[in-house]
Amino acid sequence: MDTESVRLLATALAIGIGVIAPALATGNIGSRAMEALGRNPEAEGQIRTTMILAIAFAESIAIYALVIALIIKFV
Amino acid sequence: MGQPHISIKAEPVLSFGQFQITNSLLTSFIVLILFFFLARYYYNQMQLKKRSLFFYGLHAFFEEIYNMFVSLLHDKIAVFFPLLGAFFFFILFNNWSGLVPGVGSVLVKPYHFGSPSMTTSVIAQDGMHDNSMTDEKMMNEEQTMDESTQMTDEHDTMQAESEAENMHADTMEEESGHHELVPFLRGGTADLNSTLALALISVLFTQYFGFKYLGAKDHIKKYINLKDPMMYFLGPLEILQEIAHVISFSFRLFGNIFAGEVLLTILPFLLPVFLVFIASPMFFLEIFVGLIQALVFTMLTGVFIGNAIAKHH
Repeated sequence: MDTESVRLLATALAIGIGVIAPALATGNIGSRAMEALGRNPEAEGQIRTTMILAIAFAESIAIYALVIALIIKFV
Repeated sequence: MGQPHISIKAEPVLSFGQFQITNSLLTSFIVLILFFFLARYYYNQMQLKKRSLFFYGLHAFFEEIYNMFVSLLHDKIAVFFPLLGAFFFFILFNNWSGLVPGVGSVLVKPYHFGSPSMTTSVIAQDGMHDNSMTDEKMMNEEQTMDESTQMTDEHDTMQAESEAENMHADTMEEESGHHELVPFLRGGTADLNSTLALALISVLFTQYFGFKYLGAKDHIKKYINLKDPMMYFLGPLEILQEIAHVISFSFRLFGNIFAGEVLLTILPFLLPVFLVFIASPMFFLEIFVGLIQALVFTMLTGVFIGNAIAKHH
């Protein structure tokens, strides 16, 4: 394999493996937010804000992987 | 020929004496000036009896953000809101600046030392072949390589230079004339330097407020504590965490915004020309992401400041 194909493979692997954990985390956060919403629906606004923030934190892990993938691809 | 121009770092487009101005820095300045006028407008409207509708919209948004931080910092909000609000609006407008039409699509020739008058602006076109550019481009690339070697101190200079030459030879082959042009404007936070600066400001201000509100003795005790055997081992981890904050702050913001720009750049190239409008909903996604990332950055800074000024048992 030449450098270019190894680079493409590395990019795909970096982002592919890197998003597994954040995907599980985001799903978990969503389901837990639904549970909390079912228990006390009057706290909807607060739950939504906290959920979006927590999802953003989980997503940032995926973004690290994405940055690595972009660096491999474009640098 | 249909290759989009994607660069992970901001490229210099102008120079001010010895100081090179990159496209991201230029956008940041424009955003800063626009923000100044917006703030003036808000202040002027505040003095009037009869205010405009736009003011009330702005005010509602502002109040929403303010209330969010009140729940975080309680009675100290008046001290910290100037910093946090400035963070929020600077990052927000910089995130959104990359989505304005024309930012990223107006191309110019890259600036470099040794050759004057390199800033003729041209509208984005595909076929901009110019063989006389290759020599100048070589100089430009070698110069940027040299800069990067200066930054990475741990690398041996000789080795890095030979590497740079090898890479240079590689990239010369792939890059046909298309890559000679760089965007004149680029989203302000789509540059690792600016997000790193913001992260450093955030972490240093956290330390400063820790010193100010707890006193030097109590604050340092959080990091170096020889009396408590548990804290003796946890202290260094706290120091490590502060360094990790800088990295996580800067990479989170840069990664989100840069990934959004790459997405918006790549997506039209995957579609046939008459279906390109399908990519337009992605702009709403990016507006949302920009808002969320500005909020996350500011919220986290607020939380860390809240931790730093809290009295420990």
